[in-house]
Amino acid sequence: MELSMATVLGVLQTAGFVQLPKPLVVADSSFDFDAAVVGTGVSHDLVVVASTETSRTKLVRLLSSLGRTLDQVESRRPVTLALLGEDTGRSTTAALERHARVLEITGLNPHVADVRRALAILMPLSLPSATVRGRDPLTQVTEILGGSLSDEQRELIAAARVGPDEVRTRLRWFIDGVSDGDEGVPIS
Amino acid sequence: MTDIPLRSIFISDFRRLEGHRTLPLDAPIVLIHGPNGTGKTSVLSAIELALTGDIRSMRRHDSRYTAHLPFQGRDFATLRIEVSEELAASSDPISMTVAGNRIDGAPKLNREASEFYAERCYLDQVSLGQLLELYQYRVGKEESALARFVNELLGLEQLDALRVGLADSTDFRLLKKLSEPLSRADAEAKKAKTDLTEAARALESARLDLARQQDALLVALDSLGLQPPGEKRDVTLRAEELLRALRPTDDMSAARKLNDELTILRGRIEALSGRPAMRRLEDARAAIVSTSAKIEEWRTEHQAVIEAWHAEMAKFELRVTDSDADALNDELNRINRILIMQEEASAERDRVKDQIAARRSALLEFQGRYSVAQVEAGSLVEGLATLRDNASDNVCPVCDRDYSEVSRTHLTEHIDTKMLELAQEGERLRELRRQRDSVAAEVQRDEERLGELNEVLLTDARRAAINSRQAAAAHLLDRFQRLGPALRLGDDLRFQARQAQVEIENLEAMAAEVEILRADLRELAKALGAPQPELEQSLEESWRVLAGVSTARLRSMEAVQQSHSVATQYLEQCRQLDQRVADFKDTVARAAERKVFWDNRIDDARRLQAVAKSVQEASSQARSSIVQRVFSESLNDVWRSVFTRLAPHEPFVPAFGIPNSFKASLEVTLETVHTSGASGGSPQMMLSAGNLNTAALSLFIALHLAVEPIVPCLVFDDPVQSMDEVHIAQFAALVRTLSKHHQRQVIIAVHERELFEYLALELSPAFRGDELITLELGERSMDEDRGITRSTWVPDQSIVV
Repeated sequence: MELSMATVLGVLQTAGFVQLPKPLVVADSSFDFDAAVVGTGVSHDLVVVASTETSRTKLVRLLSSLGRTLDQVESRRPVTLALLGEDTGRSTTAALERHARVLEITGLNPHVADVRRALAILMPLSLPSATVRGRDPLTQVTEILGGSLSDEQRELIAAARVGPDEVRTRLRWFIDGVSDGDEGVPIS
Repeated sequence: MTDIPLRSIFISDFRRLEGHRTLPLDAPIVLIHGPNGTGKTSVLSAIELALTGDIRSMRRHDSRYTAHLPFQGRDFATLRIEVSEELAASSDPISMTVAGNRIDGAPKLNREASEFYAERCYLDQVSLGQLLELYQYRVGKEESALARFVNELLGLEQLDALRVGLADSTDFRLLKKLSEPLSRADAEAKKAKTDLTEAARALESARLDLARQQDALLVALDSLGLQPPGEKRDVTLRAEELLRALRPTDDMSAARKLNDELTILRGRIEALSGRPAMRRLEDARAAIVSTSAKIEEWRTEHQAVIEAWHAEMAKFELRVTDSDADALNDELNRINRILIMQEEASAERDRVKDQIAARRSALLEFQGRYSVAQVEAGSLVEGLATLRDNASDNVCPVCDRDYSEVSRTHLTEHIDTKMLELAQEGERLRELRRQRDSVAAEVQRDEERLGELNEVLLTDARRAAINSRQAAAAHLLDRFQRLGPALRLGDDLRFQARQAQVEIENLEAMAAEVEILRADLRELAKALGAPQPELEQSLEESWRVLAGVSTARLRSMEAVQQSHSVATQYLEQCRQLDQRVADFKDTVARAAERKVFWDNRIDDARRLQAVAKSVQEASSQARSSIVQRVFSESLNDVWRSVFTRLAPHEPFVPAFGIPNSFKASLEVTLETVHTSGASGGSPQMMLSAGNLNTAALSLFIALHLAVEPIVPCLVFDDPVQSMDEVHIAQFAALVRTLSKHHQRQVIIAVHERELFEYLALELSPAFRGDELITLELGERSMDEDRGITRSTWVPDQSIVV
């Protein structure tokens, strides 16, 4: 479980969260969660981490207390519980969700990808970069051809910027050029 | 977020919003709350109309929706929106007025930004529930909105241009249709190949023919006893030399000439056999001796008399005729005609003399009468003319009487009548003169005739000489008639002597001819190489022997010549076949050259085809790669990421079906993928109604995120109506991420108070400079702050970081 906890914390820290000292202290009140992290930069989320080894009652109590405490100090931090361990059942989750967002990380030893997926809502979206999206398709053709292009290949690719008719015309021009037998044809 | 796209909106009497309101929007997140019917959607549609000039969701229901936009009972509505400088199509703060079916005022965004806002930024409440259907809805052959978006996102136009433009390179037949010169070159290459094959076949055939003819030539040469040395392929050249050296034609020609001479000789021998025999030569010589003796005897008896008569004849100087008798008869006739003509001329002269005398007498009479009449007529006319000149007063100058007393006509007229009558008397005078002149002419003609007759008539001496010549001619004719038998005998004897002489000459010529023929036969025998004819042999016998030899020789030579001719024919055929082989070799060489020429062109074209094909395949590969990447990374990854944030417990994740066709315009399909990786059915089949809404919402957000944000804002109208609490919490976290991590301005309208408050807390400012605006409609808007709250970031002291 410690290993899983470390994985969860590692994922969150990678996303810019900072781990808080244990126990979590809010407005001079301590909360005995397994771990807690808080967002930095553009995020001010408070994420508390607990395992399902903690009893349901305790978890609900802790989370409820944390909520009330934050309310009392007019804190606007969104609270999320990262619940690590076996599936506790829908009723437990529902009880916890009344006090905070609950993100379940099921399994005794979840893979880092599963952890990342479970905690995705706390992290920025992974969007395709503009450079990947906007790469010139014809440049990709050039790369596939190996970069060192013949004059004909270069001209055909350049013609594609005008349109299919231009490409076809260029191809015909090439073929016409080498097929033309008007000059030098041996006399029969 | 440094440059918030939407800043504020002024709304006047628009839909559910009565009166004027200015709503601030210049915060990263704007929450709008109000119970149902208080104008939340009106605010959002006002923003859409002010930005784009249209409200799409309303237009779908009623194209004349603008008539319903002013607040109930108002004539018009007014909107004015403020946006960031980058987005504003115009910096002028122009208001938009809506009245009836008219919208005055330009939208705030340009066309591209307007379309982006309408399609990628604003999700109205009505559309959310139908979003998947709307996205996939097609009119006729038009692309669905989803397909249009995806195809725009793919940006495959240039790749498709490359693929379509090079499609002909995939098949050589298509390439030939594309390029007329290539089609021609291909046809020429095929023709050159066929030509080469045919030429090679013809060459081989000619070589076989040549070999056969060379074998035949060798056989023919062998029959002539000729065996050319060296290789068989050189037989033509060597055979030509051998046959030229043999040349049987010359011998044959000589033999034929000898044979022709023999034939001619036969004709001469046959001609000789038809002539008189040699023994008649002596008879002819005896006859000529006898005839000569008779001629001598005739001369002795008649020569003197005949010569005397000839002497007389010579004196007579007669015109030469065929015979002396005819000449004498002609002379006698001529003399008789002269004498008769003299008689007639003498009689006529006497008659003309008498006629002249009579006509001279008549002439004298006519002359007398004419003279008298001439004198009379002339005197009277002259007198009357004188009178007339003096009678103009109509009084007679002779009697002085007035002429009017006797006549009504004038006296001058009367005199003129008389003078006219005298003129008529002149006519009579002219008749007399004509008769006189006629008689005078007749007299003159008679005298001329008389002169002529005097010229013709001979003198008496001359007439006597003619009479004498007449008597002498008659005497000579008589003597000739008596000498007639002797003259005819002489002629017969001389004729017989001439005949005998001619026969002798003929017989002597025939004897000479026989000798010549024998000499010719000997010459021919020598030329034929035959034995000389025996003297006792007749000409015919000698000729027959030589003819047999000549015929046998000719036949032998003809046989050789026949063989020579056959060999020569074979030789000629070999020569022709040699030439044919040489010609076909040239033809093969030229065909091969042409084939290489056209094959090179086809090879070059195929090389270019390979080049074009490589580009086409690379473009297809790039296209597949782009399609895969765009669908996987730009669409499915983002959609999955957004969907799983909103519905983390849903095992079926919606996704775009990745197309594998190369159609220029891709068909876009939606499907689901189970978390296990297995394919599911369409979202409509696999997802619950709530998650279907989540799928639509997440798709909307994913499509917004997949492209560069022309307008970086997202506007939702009550998007969480059918969401449970978990989904709402996830949605809030997503909105926070979109706003704070991805710099999208987010405007959300909700109607539930609890939800509004939850979201206000969840989306509260998280860092310095972060803000949240809440706009509360309904009764709250009547408060002093007009229901507008602007929250800024406050440092959280509750947790020590």
